[in-house]
Amino acid sequence: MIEFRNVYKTYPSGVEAVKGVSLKIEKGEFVFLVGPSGSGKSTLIKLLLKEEDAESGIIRVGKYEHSCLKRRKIPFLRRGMGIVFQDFRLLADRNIYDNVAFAMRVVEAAPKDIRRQVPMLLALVGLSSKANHFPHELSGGEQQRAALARALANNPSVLLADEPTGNLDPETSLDIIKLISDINHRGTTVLIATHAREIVDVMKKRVVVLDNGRIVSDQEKGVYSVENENLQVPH
Amino acid sequence: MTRRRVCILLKMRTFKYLIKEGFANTFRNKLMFLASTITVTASLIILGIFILVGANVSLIGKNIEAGLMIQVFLDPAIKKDGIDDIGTRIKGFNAGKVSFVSKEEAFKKLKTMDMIKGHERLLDGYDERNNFLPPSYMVVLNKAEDAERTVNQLKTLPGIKADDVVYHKEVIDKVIKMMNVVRIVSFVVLALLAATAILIISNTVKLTVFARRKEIGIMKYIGATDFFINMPFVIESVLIGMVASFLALVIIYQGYEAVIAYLKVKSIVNDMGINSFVVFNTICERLLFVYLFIGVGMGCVGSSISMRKYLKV
Repeated sequence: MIEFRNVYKTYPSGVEAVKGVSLKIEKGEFVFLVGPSGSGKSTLIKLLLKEEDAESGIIRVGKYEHSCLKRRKIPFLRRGMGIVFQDFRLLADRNIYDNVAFAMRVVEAAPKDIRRQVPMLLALVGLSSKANHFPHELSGGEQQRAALARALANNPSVLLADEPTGNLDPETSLDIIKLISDINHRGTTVLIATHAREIVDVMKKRVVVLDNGRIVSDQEKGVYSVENENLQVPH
Repeated sequence: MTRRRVCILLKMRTFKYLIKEGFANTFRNKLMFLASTITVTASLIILGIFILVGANVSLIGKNIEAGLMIQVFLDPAIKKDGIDDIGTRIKGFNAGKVSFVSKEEAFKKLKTMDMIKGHERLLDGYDERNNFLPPSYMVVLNKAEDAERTVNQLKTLPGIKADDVVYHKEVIDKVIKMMNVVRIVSFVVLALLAATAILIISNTVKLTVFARRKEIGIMKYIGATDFFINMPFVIESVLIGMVASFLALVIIYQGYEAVIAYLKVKSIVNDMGINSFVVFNTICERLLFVYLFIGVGMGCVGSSISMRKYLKV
């Protein structure tokens, strides 16, 4: 589903963010991407979205191969991925319903489908009663739920999350991750970049540890574990 | 190329949605819309003021030009056929309005001339029968530039000697020079003002885009195409441009009428020897065209260009 093969990325500022990462994520997997700040987690997410281009190496998501992808095809790549950010990134000028519906309008879904799908998504994330609220009227957890609903609007095969719980308290965080886990059970491949040790440890999923642009550990049913302690992971 | 292709692929309802979205955006960002519209209106008004001043200056110039004429004196003994022949030839030069002044008319004119007043005795003993004045043709020039050419052509007519063709060379030369200066100056000022207006408008559009760069980023992440993101902005720009154009037109119309009324009341105009103004209706269309071109056109182009930066996510 997702594949990095010997990927390097250096930013124009000279920062070498990713140094030879190779990683394969199969369809339906649930993967945590952990590591200290500046270890390259966010860069990997950006590379997957083709917000940044890799210097060398191969990146593949589904049928797309990033280096061959023309600029105008990027939107279509992104439509196959649901994306959730630390800061939610909801459109502040419209209500929750329209925020979710917007993702479907972007792909030119039929109004009939939008009317059916959006309430379903809102029910899935438990926000049915908040459909007419604006993002600023919601708590952080609720906003992230709304962002999740939007990310799922077009039934993506991959869900990417960059620090999805970074702005949330531990309890809410766990709720969000459980929700993502539910989504994973329905067949969506999930990749979460995170700092949140408690969550990683509780979930017992595949954990890929990054440090200084390299993968230092990749374990099934891993934890944000003892051997990672010496990496001085902030949490 | 890209855009055209996407455009064709877009479904009609998406198009409708985007237009609706453009209006909705305008409503959601009322303050920004208001600020942009005021800025654009102001710059269009400034441009309009100069267009009107320029039009009036060129009208004054035209009036002066229209007063310029060449007189061709004919042989006093000339026959009716000869007069008609020369008349048609002069008309063939296409230099302006040609009119014939007969001996009798010339005599009548002479009697009423200012310089004869008080010296009517000089004309004692002369009447229509022993009239010593020659008949003549008057050519009222369309354009001052034609004077030189027309004079030369007139001199080649049969029976016309070089000193039969009379005109005020110095006056005509001065008018030509003046008109040229006016033309160049107004062109330069107009170009500068138009450039300023375009700059201000594209800057305003840039601001509206900048104010929503975050939204644009979010849309990109969701997988919106550039066209999808751009369209509502273009519609918003068009709206701003149209509202500003009509506002500017109304304001400048009211202002122009008021100024002219004031000038006429104060009779400043008559003292300066100016007796007519450009009627607003005659220039209204041109003004509206310039406004819409700059206001709407630049809005579209400006928003598309300034969007590019934020679309590269």
